[in-house]
Amino acid sequence: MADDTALEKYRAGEKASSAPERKEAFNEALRLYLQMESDTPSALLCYNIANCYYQLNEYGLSILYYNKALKIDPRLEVAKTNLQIAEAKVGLPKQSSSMLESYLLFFHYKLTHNEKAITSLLLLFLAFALLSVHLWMPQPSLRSLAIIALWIALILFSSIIWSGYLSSPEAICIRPVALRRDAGDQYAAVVGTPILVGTKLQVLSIQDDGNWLKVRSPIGEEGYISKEYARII
Amino acid sequence: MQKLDVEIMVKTWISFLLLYSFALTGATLPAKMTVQIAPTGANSPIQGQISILRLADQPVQESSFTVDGQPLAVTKVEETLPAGKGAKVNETLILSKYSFSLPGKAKGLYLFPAVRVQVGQSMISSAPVSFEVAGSSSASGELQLQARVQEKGPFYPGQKVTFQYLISFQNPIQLTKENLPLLEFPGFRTSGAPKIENGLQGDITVQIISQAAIALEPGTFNSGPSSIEGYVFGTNMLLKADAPSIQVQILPFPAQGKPPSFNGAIGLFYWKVDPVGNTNVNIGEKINLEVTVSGSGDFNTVNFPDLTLQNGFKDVFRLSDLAPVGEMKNGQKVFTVPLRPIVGNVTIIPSIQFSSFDPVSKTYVIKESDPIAITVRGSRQEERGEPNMEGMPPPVWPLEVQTNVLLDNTNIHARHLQDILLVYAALFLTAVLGVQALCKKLWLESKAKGQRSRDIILEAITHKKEPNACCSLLRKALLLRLYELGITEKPDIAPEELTKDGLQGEIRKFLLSIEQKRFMGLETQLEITEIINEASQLYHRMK
Repeated sequence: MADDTALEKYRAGEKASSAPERKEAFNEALRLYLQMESDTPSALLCYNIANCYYQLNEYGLSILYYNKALKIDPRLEVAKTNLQIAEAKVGLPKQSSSMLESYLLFFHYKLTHNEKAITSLLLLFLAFALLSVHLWMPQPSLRSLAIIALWIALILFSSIIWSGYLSSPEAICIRPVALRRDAGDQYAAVVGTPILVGTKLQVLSIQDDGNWLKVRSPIGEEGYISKEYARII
Repeated sequence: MQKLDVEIMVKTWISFLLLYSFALTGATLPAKMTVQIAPTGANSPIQGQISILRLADQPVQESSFTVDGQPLAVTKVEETLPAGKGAKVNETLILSKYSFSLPGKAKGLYLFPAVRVQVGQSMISSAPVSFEVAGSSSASGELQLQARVQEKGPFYPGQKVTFQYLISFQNPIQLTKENLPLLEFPGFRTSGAPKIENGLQGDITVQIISQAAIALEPGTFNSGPSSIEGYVFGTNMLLKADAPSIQVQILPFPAQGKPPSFNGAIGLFYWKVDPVGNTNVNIGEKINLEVTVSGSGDFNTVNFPDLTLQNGFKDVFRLSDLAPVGEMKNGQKVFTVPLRPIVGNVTIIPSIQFSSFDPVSKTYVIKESDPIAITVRGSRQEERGEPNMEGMPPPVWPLEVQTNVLLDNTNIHARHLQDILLVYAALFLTAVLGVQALCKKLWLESKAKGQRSRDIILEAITHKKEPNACCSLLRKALLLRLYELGITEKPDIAPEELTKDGLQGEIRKFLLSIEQKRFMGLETQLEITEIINEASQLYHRMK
């Protein structure tokens, strides 16, 4: 199978005794993994691709793919660990999750899309069953339970809708670039220092037939960058 | 200005008389230049005038005006023929006048240096001129604009320059027109947004607009003139102010003597390299160097040199893929540079060559750091019986991330549950619940209808000892039941209106009989019981 070969190549790269041999093996592994990539890659596939990029010193692309893996499966610990290593490599500050993310909105940040969807569906059916029984044999407790189940299902569904359709997409900067005041190289930089590789940017809009992105940096500066310097997660 | 004109005229005539008399002797006259500075107020542009008396065959090279070694931008005002002839019959004297403008100065006495210019084949110069800048000369409605470059040129590519406008006014002005081309000076790339500062000098408000820019390519660039226009707030007094154009030169770095390590630093700098942390490491382990740059110059142009181009680094140390970014601390720029030795027999970190360009002496300055002693474990390969690594590719660095995982057909692609399925499920379940609620409503309604006549017949049974009431209730129950079943149109229909056949006919007969019995007064207890039984049977037969 393609992945057996890719994994063999990757392991061969890990065991290589010289830099050129290692580089060749990782490049081959990356090529095979990228062939498997589709519109809906799994978290593990994204993680494997990210590792290959890291080994080839393409830290920006590795951070991109670690973020893709975590977007699909937020609880993939190996991806989190390797992402922290990659971010430290390029000098990005360590990011810690807030109380809001860790506790209050844990379902939004910790559950996968499928987990939220299936849980919502099950809660819908539970609410239906409870309300049906309550309809023929009225019991206040049944109605209360049904309402609670419906609310939880609605919250999970809202989380799905927010993540998938309403929130601004994010992008990773794969090469250092300066934020420009407008969509074009002739415009001045917003600030003197460029954005570091691996920085997560919030994409506000896409201009000029997709060639320029209007983005917001982690410290709130807004500006434009060419699409070749960033990839949307 | 009138005083200036008179002075100039007098001096010009005196010069002319001298030259004329000199001309009579038949000699060739040297050109003569005088400079006058008009009295001005503090922070107002300083206007000056240059007069050159020359022969017609001694052209003035207007681009060669310099003062204190720097180019002076002048504008020709006029050329006149004072009178008479020059030294020889076919020569003509010409008086050329040029004006110039200097940035405003604070109140005080100043010495304007000699101006030099090429006239014909010779360079002539004027005498230095003293002039005074008086106190504030702004009238209540005056607006002034100055344009300047904060740093002294010429500049070099990569150098940071600040262009400034100084706008002075006494009363608040509502600007209606602004032409400030210095903020986008050609030949420079702006850095950051313009900064605006306001200050007071006596009763004059001075607004300073500063724009930082980075010099790009060599060349001579002009920008301007600049102008602003606006009304004094609350009035219709229109004020205008202009500033002359500014010329800036960006010189190329001289090619001669440019060291390979030069990467654009401008100034005189001192470089200090110190190891940070452990210098006794294994192959592949990191050694950090802290490089501190101090001195005078443009720190924005100071970047860490590429060590792969310097001796002793390539194939010996693994360097970071990203160029170190320096941080300014207490007027010094500090770089942190990680190195990893990739071979064993390394005992020093070699000297690092740093170079910068001194714009004053226009030469490159090269400095080298001291070598740093280090110990790399794994150097005594022979003692450990390991093969000689000479000539072989350098060994690899330690792996830093966790390894890959095996994928199979189930976890290569993510299988997403379609969001629309949730919507369909919610709608379907809601519909089913709705249907259930409707069914229940109908069932309850029918149940409620049946119970009405049943309640009455049960009540009739409880009134067994009251024949009149009992019969009345039985009558009511049977007629109501007929209505509930939709057989009759009203619940209190008269028994005579019922049909005579079928169950309806039996009920009619029964009701008429009990009416007759009541009328005849023949209702005994036994009869009441029989009546109730018969009524119950008829009731139950109605469905």
